[in-house]
Amino acid sequence: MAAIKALQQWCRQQCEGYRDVDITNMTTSFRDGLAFCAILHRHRPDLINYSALRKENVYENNKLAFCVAEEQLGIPALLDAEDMVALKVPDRLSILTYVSQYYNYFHGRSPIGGMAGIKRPPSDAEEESSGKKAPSVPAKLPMSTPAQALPPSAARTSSVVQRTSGSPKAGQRVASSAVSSTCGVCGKHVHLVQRHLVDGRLYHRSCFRCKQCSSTLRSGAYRATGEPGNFVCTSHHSKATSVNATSLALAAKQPGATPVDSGAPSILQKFQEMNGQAAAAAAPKAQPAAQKSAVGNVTAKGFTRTTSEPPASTFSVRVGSPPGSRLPASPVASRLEHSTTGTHVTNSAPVGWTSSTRGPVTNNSQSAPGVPEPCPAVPQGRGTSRVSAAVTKLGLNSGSLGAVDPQDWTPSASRTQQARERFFQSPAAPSSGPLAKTPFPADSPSRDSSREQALSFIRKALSGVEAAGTQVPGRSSPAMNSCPKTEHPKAVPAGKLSQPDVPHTLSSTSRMEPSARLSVGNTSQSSGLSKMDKSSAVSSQISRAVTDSRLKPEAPMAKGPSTSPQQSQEDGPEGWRARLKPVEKKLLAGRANLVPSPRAKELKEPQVPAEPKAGDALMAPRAPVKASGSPQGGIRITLTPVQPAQTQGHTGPGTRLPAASPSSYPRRRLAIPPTLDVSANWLQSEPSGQKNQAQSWEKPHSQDNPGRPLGPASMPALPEKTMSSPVRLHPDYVPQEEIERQLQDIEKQLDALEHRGVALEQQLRAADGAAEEDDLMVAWFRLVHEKQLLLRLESELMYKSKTQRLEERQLDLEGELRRLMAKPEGLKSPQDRRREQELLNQYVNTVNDRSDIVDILDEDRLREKEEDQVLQDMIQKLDMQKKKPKFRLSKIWGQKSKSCHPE
Amino acid sequence: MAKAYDHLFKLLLIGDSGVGKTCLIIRFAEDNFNSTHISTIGIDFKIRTVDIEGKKIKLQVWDTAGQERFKTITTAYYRGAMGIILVYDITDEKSFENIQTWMKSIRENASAGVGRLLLGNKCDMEAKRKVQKEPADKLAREHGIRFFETSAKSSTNVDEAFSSLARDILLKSGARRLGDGSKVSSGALQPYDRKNASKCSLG
Repeated sequence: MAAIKALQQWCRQQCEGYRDVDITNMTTSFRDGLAFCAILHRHRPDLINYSALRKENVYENNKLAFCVAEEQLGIPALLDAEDMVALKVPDRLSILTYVSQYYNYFHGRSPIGGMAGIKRPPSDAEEESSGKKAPSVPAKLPMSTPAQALPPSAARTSSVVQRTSGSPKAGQRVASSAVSSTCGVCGKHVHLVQRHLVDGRLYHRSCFRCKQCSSTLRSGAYRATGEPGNFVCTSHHSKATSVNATSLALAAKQPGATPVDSGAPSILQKFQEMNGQAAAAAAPKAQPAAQKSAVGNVTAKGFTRTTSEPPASTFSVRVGSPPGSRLPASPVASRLEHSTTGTHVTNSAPVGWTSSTRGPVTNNSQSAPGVPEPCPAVPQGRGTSRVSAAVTKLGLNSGSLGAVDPQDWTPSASRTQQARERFFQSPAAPSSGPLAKTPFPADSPSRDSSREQALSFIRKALSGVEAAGTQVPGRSSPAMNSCPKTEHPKAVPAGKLSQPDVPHTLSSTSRMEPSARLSVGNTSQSSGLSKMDKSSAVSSQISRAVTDSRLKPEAPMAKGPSTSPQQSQEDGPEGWRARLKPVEKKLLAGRANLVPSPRAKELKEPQVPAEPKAGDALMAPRAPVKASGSPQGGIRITLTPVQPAQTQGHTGPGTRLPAASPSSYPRRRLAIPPTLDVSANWLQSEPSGQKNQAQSWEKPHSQDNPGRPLGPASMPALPEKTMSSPVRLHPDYVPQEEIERQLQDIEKQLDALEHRGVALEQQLRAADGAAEEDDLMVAWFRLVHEKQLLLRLESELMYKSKTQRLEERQLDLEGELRRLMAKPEGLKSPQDRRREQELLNQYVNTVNDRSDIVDILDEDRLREKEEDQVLQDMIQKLDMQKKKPKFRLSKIWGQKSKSCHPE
Repeated sequence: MAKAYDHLFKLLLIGDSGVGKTCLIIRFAEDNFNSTHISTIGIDFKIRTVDIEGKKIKLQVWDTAGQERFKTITTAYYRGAMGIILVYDITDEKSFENIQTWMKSIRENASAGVGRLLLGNKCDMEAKRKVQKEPADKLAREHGIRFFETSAKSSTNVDEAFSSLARDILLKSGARRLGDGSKVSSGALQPYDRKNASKCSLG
């Protein structure tokens, strides 16, 4: 009890002189929230206007304290304001743990990090309520959905009540804790140590995974999707945002990609199923949709109708704008645009592309793609908000980039806000994107279900994989993950995949560019040539070319941009790029031969068109891939060469494409292995020399982004390459794979630690008031601290990864900037100047972001230093009080800290 | 890992375009050199952790564009610098003359009492020397700062220069000023410019 008493004593001292606060225990004395406010006010009077608080406003007081503590001081909200309202007697252990964070912060100047992971689940309301108490459930659900938004007290109260009584009543709860706590994902009880509170919902830390890649979401590296409880890696985010927003969108894109890449079997299967379902259901719809929005798809496959030139133009236009904004933005934008405009072309295009890969076998497949697109539509809704943002970003390239990055870093609070915003926006978006929705209503559901299944599958697979550290699973997941993974350790495989993809995409883009140019030049020709059905093909080609160009820019953006999705790719990509690059070169060579020739042929030869189409389709898929950052791109690339040859006949192309494109296989499990092999080969096989090329490709993308989609980009790319290489080579550079590996190590340790924590919590609760409680308490705090140390390491790694991404982006921006600045002043168009200014802003922002990380790390270092000292003192104090110097904390701590360091 | 250091110091390099600021930083942070001149765009920084007086000092070295067009960007970074390194090119008289201008810029934009250091770069190009050591040494003395002649290309005095400034800052931050002269740099001062070595006025 001593330790607890000491803490209680401290609280009493802090609250001395504050109206209506009297600390007599560690439960009800805190219920009205005034005690928390008082402690905060004592140390930071600027944050809380204590005199304005009223004892009756339990919810408001608590919420204020929790919010202020979390947002201003970085003390995670372990407690939930609604619980405080609902529970007549708040959970003692939760209060103790939470207050100890205050203690540590104001005395050690740092919150017990461990608590971060232990956050209380406000969200319980939803899950718990649904599961446990019926009455409140309804209310809760709505509330919970917003997850971000705190559920109404009422809803929670019910849940809370349950909890309060819960400990006794609820079997599960009773057993472990008074506080109701079930995981938002698995529905099982969440112990204190395992707590991961996100947007008002409680999760097992290990259950908190990316909806896309199912890799564990790490602090600062995830974002909310439009769907409550669905989060994605930031990396996926930007890209995914649109995609991830709804897994569907990703799924749609990924499916093609996934299969191609490594194609996790399970994932692939699921996707396939998904696709199949979607296709089946959507097929009919899909076509309509395709016509409307699926233009891209159509074009790809030769839906001449949809591809109708107008759409193409729309694509080009939209694409064009997006490029500036970047890949993420552009994809989203395209989607958004689609939804809004009703032109799904951009999105559809990607999807279509992907689908085309899939669909190659049959046109129907395309319809399937269309289905996926619908998914995008859903995402679009979410994405819409994002899109808008993206659009704005696009407009302000620099701004957008900077904005995105910041978001990643932004504290949980900001994230939640963002999430909320997105959430709200997304709804709106859906409306805007009626087309997508309408066509796909059926699909969307199927998708969801399929997604969920797929996700669950993936998660399982991943969990297994992660544990095993198997790359293969990762890869398979990659398709799913492709966007998000990069940041997540687990994602590593995915990250790799994604990265590879990126490179591929890049390469494809570069390739695409040529094609694009060709197509452009051809477009007129092709249009003329494509008298046949091909006309559509031509248009599609054109659109593709446009998209390609756009895509390329975007892709570069993504890489350079650091935007989360891009970043993810970037992270991995750097390492991957090197490897990939070689591949790219190969691919390029292949492409050059394959693609160019087809196109060239097309241009020259009317008949050829079919081939070109095939090529285009391939290209298009790639482009989409790029945009999406899906692995597919890579796969496709490899395939492309082959396909082109095959795709000579129009009809043939379709069929051939499927065959040629692994994408079609993706559905098949087999597809995955091939892709894996390929990727592996690429990565490993190519020498450094190739890397240069690869880099060049990458760089070009960035260059392309600027707004000059086609020519310029490719040119500048080379210089950039040289630049980029330094980043990777710089002395402190840590390959993304290595970071992922370390993150996985940490994750394992965290798992083990939580395991112990669960047992300890049970002991603690059982020992309530007993003599041994102090010992247990000390052990508990130590364990929490241990977790804290692990989380610190994790965050350091995340920062490292982020930094490297920013460095890459900086190189990309620099390359583009130099190209622009090299242009004689007299020859610069107003757009050039504007673009130059934008790039410069982005560049400076990127440097600042890097510097911010340096500062953040330094602040963390100082805080942690004190924090460790404080915690030790506190524990020792407790021990002293007990007069049982059992623990030699200093030694223990030392050991712990050492042990905690993975490397 | 990233936090395995005792202090974080922020240094800033300024000077005319082409005097070798970026090369000095690359040499210092990455021990690399590339003779092709690529003008810096606006601002950038590199990190290197060094051991000084038994302490691990993480140096965040800011590189600035010497070109006038980036002036507004670069001056914004003066304030956060704990140490500013003025660089000129010993083969370029003008760049040395402009040191006064850069000094003025420091007065206008940097924190009062920021540590300063004067470097004459490209000392490997003795044949093309236009700026002798004496005037530079004199200038440094007038301002009460240290002076080194360096060569990013040959690595001459690069580490010494950075370490010297970092040491000054460390001692200053330590709140113990043993005396300007006391310090340091066994290594820093000795190598090249003993003449200059002199005055280390931390301020």
